[in-house]
Amino acid sequence: MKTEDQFTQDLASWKTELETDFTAAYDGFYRFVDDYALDPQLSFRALFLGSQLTDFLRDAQGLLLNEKELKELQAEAFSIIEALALQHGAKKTQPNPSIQHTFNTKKSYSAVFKAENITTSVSNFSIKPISFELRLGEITSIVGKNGNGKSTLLGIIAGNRGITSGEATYPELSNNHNWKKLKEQIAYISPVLPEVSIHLSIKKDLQFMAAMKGIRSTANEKAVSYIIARMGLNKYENSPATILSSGYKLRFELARQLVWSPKLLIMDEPLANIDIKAQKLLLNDLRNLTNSLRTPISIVLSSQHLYEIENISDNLIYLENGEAKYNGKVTDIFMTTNSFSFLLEADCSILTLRNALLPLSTDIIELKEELSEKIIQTNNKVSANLLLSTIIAANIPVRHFRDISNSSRIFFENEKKRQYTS
Amino acid sequence: MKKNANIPARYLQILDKYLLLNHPLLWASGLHKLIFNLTWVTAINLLLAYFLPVGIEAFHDIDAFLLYFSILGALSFLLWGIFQSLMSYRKSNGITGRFFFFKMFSIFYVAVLLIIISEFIPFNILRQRCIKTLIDPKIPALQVKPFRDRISYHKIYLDTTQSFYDKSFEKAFDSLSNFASEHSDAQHSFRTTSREKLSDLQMAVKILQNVGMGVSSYSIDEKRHIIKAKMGYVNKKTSKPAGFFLIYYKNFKESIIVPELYKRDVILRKITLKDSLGNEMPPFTFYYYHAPNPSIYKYASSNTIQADLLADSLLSTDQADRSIERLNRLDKQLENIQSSTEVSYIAPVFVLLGCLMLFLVLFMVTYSTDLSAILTTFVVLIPTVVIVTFFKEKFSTTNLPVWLLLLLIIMAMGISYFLTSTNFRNFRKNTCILVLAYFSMASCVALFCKFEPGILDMDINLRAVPSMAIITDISAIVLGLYIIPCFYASRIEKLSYLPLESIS
Repeated sequence: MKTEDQFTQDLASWKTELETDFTAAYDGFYRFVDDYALDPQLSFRALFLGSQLTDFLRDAQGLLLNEKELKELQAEAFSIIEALALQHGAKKTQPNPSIQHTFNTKKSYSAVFKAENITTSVSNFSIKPISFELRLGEITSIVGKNGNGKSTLLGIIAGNRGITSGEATYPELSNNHNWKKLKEQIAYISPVLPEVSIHLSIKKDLQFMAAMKGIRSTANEKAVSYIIARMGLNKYENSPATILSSGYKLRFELARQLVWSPKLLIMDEPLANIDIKAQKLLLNDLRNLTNSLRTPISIVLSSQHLYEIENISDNLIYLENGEAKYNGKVTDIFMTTNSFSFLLEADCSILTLRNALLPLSTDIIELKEELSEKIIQTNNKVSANLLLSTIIAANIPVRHFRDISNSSRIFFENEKKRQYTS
Repeated sequence: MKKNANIPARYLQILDKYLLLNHPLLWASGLHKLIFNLTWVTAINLLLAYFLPVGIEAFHDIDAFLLYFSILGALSFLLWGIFQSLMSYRKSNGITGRFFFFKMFSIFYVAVLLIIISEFIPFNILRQRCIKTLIDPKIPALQVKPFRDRISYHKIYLDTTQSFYDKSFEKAFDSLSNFASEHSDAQHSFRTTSREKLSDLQMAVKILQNVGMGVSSYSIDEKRHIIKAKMGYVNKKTSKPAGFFLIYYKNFKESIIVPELYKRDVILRKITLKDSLGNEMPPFTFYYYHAPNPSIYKYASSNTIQADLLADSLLSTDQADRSIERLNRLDKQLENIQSSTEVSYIAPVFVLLGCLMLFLVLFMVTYSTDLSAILTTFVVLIPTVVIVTFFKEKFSTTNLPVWLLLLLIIMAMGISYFLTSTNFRNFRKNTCILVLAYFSMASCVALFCKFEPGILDMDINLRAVPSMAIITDISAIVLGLYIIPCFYASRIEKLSYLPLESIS
């Protein structure tokens, strides 16, 4: 927890950064506000600011913002900073901000989906017994190579595929024995997005979706306005969704599913068709949504973008031939090997690298190269800083360096190893 | 002014928003927009129906109007079908509730009913206006068959006098300006002329000539109270006396009526006959009317009186100077009159049936896309086959096509899913569905015609009262297209939500 002084310093530094380069600083600023805002409205204002920034940038075709727009955005950002400072000043007089505490408590115990030793068979393929829980406020990622059962497992969670043994329940959802009623409460976004209406505006489509799900009258309007702002769709709200790019179509589909506040959101390969910036925005949105106090949600998604989804996930399931090789918290992946792993892309041979790392040779467990990537596995005495500084000291030009000790990427490496040994 | 013109549209927007936020099913149906648009269409149609000049001199081609109204109706239906969003409930897993399908189908039929009302009521108003100028309420109904005979004389005449159409003969032809009555009489021996009222005896002879009543064996002794008269019979073909029959008439009444439309004296003579056993036969009525040109009385039976009056009126009212124009216009008018009196609703009924079936097929396909083809086929096909096979005795042949129609819809649904399940996507899928829908429609029409062989040739009596059979048919169609689809739709919907392996 930051001290009051540290917090004040941070606020001042954000102000400076926003003045220097607003576009570059916004992302971090938003996360800062979201982390420290006591009032969700403030968080929403910061999010909406991002939506405006995106709109202005799009108008400028990715070039610099004009002065008027920049000043407008900065004024709003500074106003948020002031409100944040005020809130934290007032915090001292509030001994029991129990909303977060209540939420955290709820989040710890409320499982939306619970699987106990479930299995299923699909022609020549089967899911081996697996147990896990999807809790409110948590993101669970399912990773693995193609054809290893990710979509099948998501299908089971969505109720689209049956199980052959074990037990699957939805404790937080009502009508547990009626599939129709259950599916009405589950949001599912498939890799192939549904066709969008050519004659309905985005706003009307969202209002219709919310109304179909039982959100009527003014509550409907509020929910739709909120989700449109949250998903950055303001500019397109009166246009049909057909004009949207594939990234925005995904955002629109996400808005359609989130507007009725489902407790369980299932996304199969959501990052497949969107650019790197849109990926980042979407994943940030997902993280913020799960942290929502008003409408807590559990999100489960599958993707091949390991590092991106690990950054926002609480839990991870790694599937190999239908079997869960890892099923636990993302932060605990490291414990499966009890060693550090690093990924390096550099313009040198494996021999050069080996020579460069001679000073650490006693701590290096394995050094291998595949395609243009080099994987370095060390014992837990070697930190990333030490390894990188050793490589740089040997004048090896580094293009990319990543600590993958806590990433599911190591399972892919282990899988190869198992294949080679067998 | 511009603001005022937009007031209805603004109210529509307010209603649209209200329905969208509070009654999504009604909003999805687009009924409010349909009603709004149909109001304008109906207003135009009603103006057309009420103010289009209709008179004995100028009859409109009623078939063209029927086509216009049918196309307008089908177009309304098509546009409504494109812009409604009822199917979205399934695609988005919307919360539907217990009576969802009854509400949905009710909305659908209300939409169909509104379209029918907006198109066919103005059409019928126009048609009734046409008919009122043709049919006199004081005399028996216009019989289509005898009327056709009447007008056919004109065509025969045209065929046989083609040479008169040459310019060289035109003048000569004009001199025969009273050809109407003369040639009419020449072509139809039973329309004999007389400058005086005919005697009773002559009348009876005409009756026997015309219809051959078969009253030849009356017993004088048994029924003495009946007035006895000896009647001459003339062979119709040779016009020579063929013998004598005895006819007994108990009552002989003569009265004069003045038809509202034709305003000419019509002498009505009614005879009540009894057979040799004294059983009363249906009364026999015959007419004489005063033909305008030349001023003579012509004989007509109750079947032909309207047709005779109408044909003679047409011939006498045409004011064209040139004979060739006169003949051409007369020919066109006669055709229009015939079509006005013989309107067949078969085509519009098929159009509407086609629309209904298209909706049902698309509906069923939408609701069954999560199911396997074999399962869908079995779940819905077997009960239908059982119903049709074991209970068909309870339904008349008229109702049988309704069942077959349902069967086809369901088969189309199963097959279309089979075709679209794995390899056929997007364009192919949509094409397959449409092709199947149209095939099933065409098959149904073929079946309909097969089981109702006379339906395409049937004549519609203008004064015919709907019989119980028609009401039963309508009830069967409504039940078949309402109750059964609701039942199947709810079953399919329930199945479609089950996880795949659980139902295989």
